[in-house]
Amino acid sequence: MAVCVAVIAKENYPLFIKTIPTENELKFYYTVHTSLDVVEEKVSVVGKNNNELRELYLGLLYPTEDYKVYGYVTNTKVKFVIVVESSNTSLRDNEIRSMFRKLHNSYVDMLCNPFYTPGEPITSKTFENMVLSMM
Amino acid sequence: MESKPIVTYHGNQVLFSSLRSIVLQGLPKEPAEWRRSYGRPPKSVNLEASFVPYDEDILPEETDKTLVSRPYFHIFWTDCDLESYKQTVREEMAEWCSGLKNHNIPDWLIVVVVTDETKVKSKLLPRSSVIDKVRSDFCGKQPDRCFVLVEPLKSDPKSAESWNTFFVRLRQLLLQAYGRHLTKYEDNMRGLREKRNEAGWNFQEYFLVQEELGFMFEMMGLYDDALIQYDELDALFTQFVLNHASGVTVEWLLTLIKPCTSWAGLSLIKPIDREKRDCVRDNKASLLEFRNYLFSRQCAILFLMNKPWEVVQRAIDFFHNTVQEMKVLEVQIPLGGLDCWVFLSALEVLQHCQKQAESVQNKSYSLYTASLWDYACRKLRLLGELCGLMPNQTEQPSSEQLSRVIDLTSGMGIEEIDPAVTQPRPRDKLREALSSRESFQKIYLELSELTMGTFKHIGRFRSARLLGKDLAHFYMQLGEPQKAENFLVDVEKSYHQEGWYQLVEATRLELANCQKYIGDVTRYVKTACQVAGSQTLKLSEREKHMTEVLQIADEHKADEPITLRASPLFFIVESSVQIKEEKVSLDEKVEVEFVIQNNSPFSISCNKIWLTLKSFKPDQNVMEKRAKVINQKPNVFRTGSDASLDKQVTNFKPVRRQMPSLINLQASIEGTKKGIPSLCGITCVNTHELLKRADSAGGSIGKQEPVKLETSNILCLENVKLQQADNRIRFMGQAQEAGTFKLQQVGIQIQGLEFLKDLDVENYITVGTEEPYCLIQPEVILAGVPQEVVVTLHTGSYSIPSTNKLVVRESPDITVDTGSHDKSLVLEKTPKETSTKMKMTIFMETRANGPEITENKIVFDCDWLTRPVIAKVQFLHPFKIEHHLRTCKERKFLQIQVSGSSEPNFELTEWNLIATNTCDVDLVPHNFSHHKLRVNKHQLASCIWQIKPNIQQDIDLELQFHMMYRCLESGIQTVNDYKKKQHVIHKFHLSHFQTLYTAHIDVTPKSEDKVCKIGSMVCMKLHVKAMENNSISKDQNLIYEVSADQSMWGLYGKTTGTFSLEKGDYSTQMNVMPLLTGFLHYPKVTISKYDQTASEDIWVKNDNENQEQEKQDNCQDFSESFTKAAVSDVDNPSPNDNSPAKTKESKLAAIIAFKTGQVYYSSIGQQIQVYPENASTDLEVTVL
Repeated sequence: MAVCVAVIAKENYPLFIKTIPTENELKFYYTVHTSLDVVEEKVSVVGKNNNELRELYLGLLYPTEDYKVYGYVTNTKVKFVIVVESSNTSLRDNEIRSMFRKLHNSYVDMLCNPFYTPGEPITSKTFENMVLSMM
Repeated sequence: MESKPIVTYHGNQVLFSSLRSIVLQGLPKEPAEWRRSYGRPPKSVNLEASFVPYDEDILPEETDKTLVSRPYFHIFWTDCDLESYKQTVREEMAEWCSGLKNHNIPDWLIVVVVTDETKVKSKLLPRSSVIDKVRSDFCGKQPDRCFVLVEPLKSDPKSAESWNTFFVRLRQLLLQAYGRHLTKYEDNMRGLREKRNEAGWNFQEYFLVQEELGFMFEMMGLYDDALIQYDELDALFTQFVLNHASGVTVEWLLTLIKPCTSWAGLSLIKPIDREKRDCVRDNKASLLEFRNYLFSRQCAILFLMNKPWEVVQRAIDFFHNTVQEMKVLEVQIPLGGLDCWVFLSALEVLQHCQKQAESVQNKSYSLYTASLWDYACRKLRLLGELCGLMPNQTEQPSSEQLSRVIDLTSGMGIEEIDPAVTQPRPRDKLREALSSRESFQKIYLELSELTMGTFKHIGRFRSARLLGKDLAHFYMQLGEPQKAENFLVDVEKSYHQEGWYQLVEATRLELANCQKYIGDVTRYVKTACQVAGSQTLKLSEREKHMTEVLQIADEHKADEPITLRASPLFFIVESSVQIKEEKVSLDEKVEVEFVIQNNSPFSISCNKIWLTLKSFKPDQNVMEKRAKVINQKPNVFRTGSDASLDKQVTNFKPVRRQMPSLINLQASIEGTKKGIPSLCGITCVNTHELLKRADSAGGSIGKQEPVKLETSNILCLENVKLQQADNRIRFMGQAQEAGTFKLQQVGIQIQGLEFLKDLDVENYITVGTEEPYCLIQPEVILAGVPQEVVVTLHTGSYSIPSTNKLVVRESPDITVDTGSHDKSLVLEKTPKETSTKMKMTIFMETRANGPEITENKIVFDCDWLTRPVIAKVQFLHPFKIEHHLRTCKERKFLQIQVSGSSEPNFELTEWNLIATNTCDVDLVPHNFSHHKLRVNKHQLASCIWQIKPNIQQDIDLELQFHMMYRCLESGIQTVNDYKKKQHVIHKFHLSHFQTLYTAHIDVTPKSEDKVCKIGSMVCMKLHVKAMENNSISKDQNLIYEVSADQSMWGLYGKTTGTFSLEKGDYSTQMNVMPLLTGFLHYPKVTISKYDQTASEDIWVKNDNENQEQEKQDNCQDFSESFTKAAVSDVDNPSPNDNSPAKTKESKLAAIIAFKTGQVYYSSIGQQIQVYPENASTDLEVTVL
C-alpha cells in the first residue's frame, strides 16, 4: 500500500520515517521534506479563513510521476505524510483517509506512554508495527 | 467555435437580406432562460444563429444523428400585399410547409413584415389582411407560429417594440427546438453508452457522439456543459484503461496501444485540430495522440471560460496520468520518447497559458506553473542524461546516444506553423537543446532558474532548495564548483535548521566533494570532518574523507595550523569533566579528566591535546550571581521539542536565528533593605538575548568560529592516540599561578590541524594563596611581668625550604627574649599548610594608669617571604593607681589607692611618696611602713600621707609614688630570672590645695520645742569664714548657691547670693521647709568665686581650660572645678537674658569654682531629724 509513512514534528523535523524500499530511503526523505511546503501552504490558507474546526486531512499534497503524496495535520500541528505509488489505483481518497485515521490513533496511543517525551524520535515498536501493517 | 446553430430562411430573399444584420445582432443581445430536462438547473443562454437559405435537400432525416450541422429552425419571411399573397406567396408558403412536414420538422415561423401601419388598423373587416390570411391558412392551431413585424427599418419606439417581441418569440422557439433535439440526442447517446460492455462497441464512435453534444453546448456558449462532456469521456476512457490493465481487454483499445512512433507534444494553437479528430474517428490515433486531442479540447474550453490556471492545474494531472497509462498499457515507446512528449507538452501549456494569463498573473497561477516548470525541468535533465548531453569533460556522447537524439527529434512530428506565435515553439526549443551540449546547458540553466524563481515567488523554499541541489550537481559536472557550493551551503543550512539530519549529512557529503574539487582546503577540511564524524553516512565515504583530512593535516605540518571546531569529529563530553581537587595550593598538582568521543571512522593519533585555563577574576558579584543561578533552579522553561531547533521554520521566513531556549528568571525584590519591600516579582536575566533583533542585525546563523586562546595556563598531553568512541583523557599539571581558573578551551592538534572546543562548564580550579600567619598564646599577656609565650607559625601556602630564621622585631615598650642574641627563632624545614611552635619570652613595661588592656603588634621577619608576618598581642596592665586629696579644716591628707585588674595576686612592697620639686613640705605617712600589700582583681590597697607645708604660700607639688611589686601566682609562666621585684612609678601634680574658706550651715527649728516638723518652716544659717592664713585678698567676690533635693527641702528666699569677706566672715540665713520625715541632710551649699567683670572670652577660655584640664588630669587632680554662667535671677539685671545666646551682648558674670580643698564645708555630713506634723507615739522614719 503505502511506500513511505512519515511523522513530522510541529517544528518540521522528522519524528519517524519508514520507507518500504529501504535502499533508496533518502529519496523519500527529500520527497517528504519538500511536501512540507505544500502542507504549510494548505494549513495557512485554512487558518486565514475562519476559526472553525479545520479538517485534519489535507488530501493530495502533490503528485509526481511515480508517487502520490498525501498529508494530514493534527491539531497540535504534527504532520503525517503518506506516500503511495501512482500506479496503485486501488487506493481511493477514502482509503487514504482511513489510513491517516489509523495512524493518528496509533500516534496518540504512543504519545500516551509516559516514558515518551513529546518531540523525541519515535521508537515505539507497536507504532512501527502498525505503520508496517499499512505498507 | 465559429459555427453557430443553423436557421434557414425562405420567402422574400430581398426583404430578409435587408433585415439580416439586425436579426443577427439582435438575437444574442439578451439572454433567454432555458429550462432543461432531467431536473438540471435552468440556464440562461445568449443565442446566436447563422442563417442559410432554405433548401428542401438540406433538411435532416428523422434518423439523422447530427447536432451541429443540423438546421434547427426555419423562417418564412414575407411582406407581400393581399394580392400577391393570393397569387404566389400562399402557394410558396404551402410548399415550404409541406416540405417541413414531410421531414417531420415542427420548428418553423412565418414572419409577415408590415410597412404601412394604417393598413392594419383601418381594416374593419376581419380576415382581410395578409396576416389574417396567413394565420387562418397555416397557423390555425399554432397562432404563435406567425409573427407580425411592424416597420422593421424605422427607428421609432413602435418598431423597436415590435423587434423585441419578435426576438423574445424567436429565442423561445429556438430553445424549444434545441431542447427537443438535445433530449432526443442525449437519450440516444445514453443508450449507446449502456452498450459499452457489449462486443463490437467502439469507443471512438461513442466519443464522436458525445463530443458532438459537447460541440453543441459550446456552440450555445454553455462551456461548463461542454467541458462536462469531455470530462465524462476522459473518465470513461480512463476506466477502460484501468480495466484493460487489469485484464479486461477490449478490441478497440488495441489500436491505441500500438508501438508509439510519434511523441509530438500537445498543441494548443487551434481550438479544434480537425486532422487529429479525423484520426480519432478513423481509429488511427495512438494513445498519445488521442490524449493530446482530448486535453487540447478541454484546454480550449477552459480558455474560453478564461480559466488558464485551471489548464495548468489539470496539465500536471494529465501528464502524470498519461505517463501512468502508457506504463500500464505497456505501450512500446523508445527510451526518452515519453519524456520528450511531457517536456513538449508542458512547455506548450506554459507558453500558451502565459499568453492567455497575462491579465490574471497572480500567485494562485504561479502555484501551478511552478510544479509544471519543475516537471519540465526534470524531464529535460533526464533527456540530457539519456542523450549524453550533461556536461562531463571526459566523455563524449556515445554513438548510441547520438542516434537516440536523431530518433527522438524525428519522433517529435512536424509542427504546424502559426504566424501569430513569435516565440519559438517547444519543439524547436527541445531540438535546439538536444543539438549540442552548450545549448542544452543554456536551456537547462534558464529553465532551472525560472523554476526556482517561481518556487521562491510562491514561498516554496524547500522545493527551491531541492532544485538548487540538482543545480549544484549540474554545476559540479559543468566544472563550476564555486557555483555549486553556494547552492549546497544553502541547502545544508536549511536542512540543518529544520533538523533533517539525514538530509544534512547527505548534502554535506556532496558539499565535501564539491569543496575538495574547488581546492579550498580550509572549507573542505571543515566539511570533510563533518562527513567523517557522521553517524549515518556510509563507512566507506567517511573513511575516504577522513583519510583525506589526515593527508591534508600532514601536508600542512609546517604551515600555520588550520583551526577547526572540534565538535563534528571530536565530541567533548562536558558532563564528564572532573577536577580531582578543585582547591589546590601553588605548585601542587592539578588534575583534570574528561571524555573525548572520537567520532571518526578510525582511531587517530594526535600530536597534542591541551586544555586552556582562563584566569577567572573572583568578582564577588559574579560569583554570587553564579551561585544564584545555580542554586535557584529556573522556574520557567521554554522547551523546544528539539534542542537544536527552537523555531518553526516557515516557508516565508526561511532563515532565522536561533533563540536561546532558556528563559532565566530570578526573584527580584525592590525596597529598603530593612523595611517592607515595595515591589516583588521575577525578572528575566537574559532579556538582551531573548529580545535581540532576529531579522537583520548580526543575524548570521553560523556559530562563531573558535579562536585559539593564547594563555600561559595550559595543561598539555602529547602524542595521544584517540581510539574510536570514548577516550578518557587525564591532564596533569602544576599550579604555577595563584587565582581561580575556569576550564576554557580544549584543543586537539593533528599535524597541521587544530581542533578547538570552547568548554561551557562551571568547573573552576582555585589555586590557593593562603598567607602564613603567627599566633601567640596566651592571647592576653600580663604586662609588667616577663612571660613565656608559645608562637605558632602557620605556613599557609608557603613551605619553609630549609632551616631558617624567624627574626622578631622589638618595639620600644616590648622586650623579647628568644634565647639567641639576634632575637631570632630557628625553624625547621616545614611543609606548607602546617604549623610549627616555638617558645619565647615577652615583657612589656606596665604603667600606673591608662586603659586596662592595650593591643600591640609583634612583627616577625621571615627570610623566605617578601612581607613580614605580624602577630597581634593583647597586654593586660595589672595595676591602676589613683590619688585623692582629703581635707579636714586646714589639714590636708593624700590617699593613694592601688587597684588590681588581674586575677593573680601581686605583692606590693617599698612604697614611698616623695615630693620632687620642693622641700617645703613634709609628707607624713600614716601607714605601717613595712607592711606588704596584696592586690588583685578583687582587692585594692590604699595608703595615706598628711601634707604639711612648711611655708604659708601656696605651693605647687610634684609628687611621685614609687612601689615595688612581685607576682605571687605560680600559674603564670614567668621566667625565673625575671622573678624579681619590678618597680612602678605614679607621678602627679598638686596645687592650690590649701583651705581658704570654711563654710558652716546651721539649721534650727523655729518652734519652741526645737523640734523640726514636716511642713514647718526652719531657719537655715550660712556662715562663711576666711582662714587666717588666707593669702587671697579679702575683697574677693564670692557667691553661694543653695541646692537641695526638691522632694526633701522646700527652699524659700534667696538661694543664691554674692558676698565678700571684707570683715573676715559672712552670714546669711534663709527659710527652708523639710518635706520628709526622718534624718535629712542639710541642703547643699556651694561657694564659688564670682567675677562680675569677666568677659565672655575669659569665661569661655576658662571653661575650655577647665575642661581640658579635667581631661588631662583626670586622675591626678580631683578638684571639681567647674564654671557656670551666671544664671541667677537675683544678680542678673535682666532676668530674661539667661540664655547663652543672649548673654553675648551683656556683660557676663562668671562663677569660677574653687579647687578641691580650698573651701572646707564643715557641716557636710550633718543631718537633722524631722518629725511628722502631728507628733504621735508612732514615728514614721525615712532613712536616707
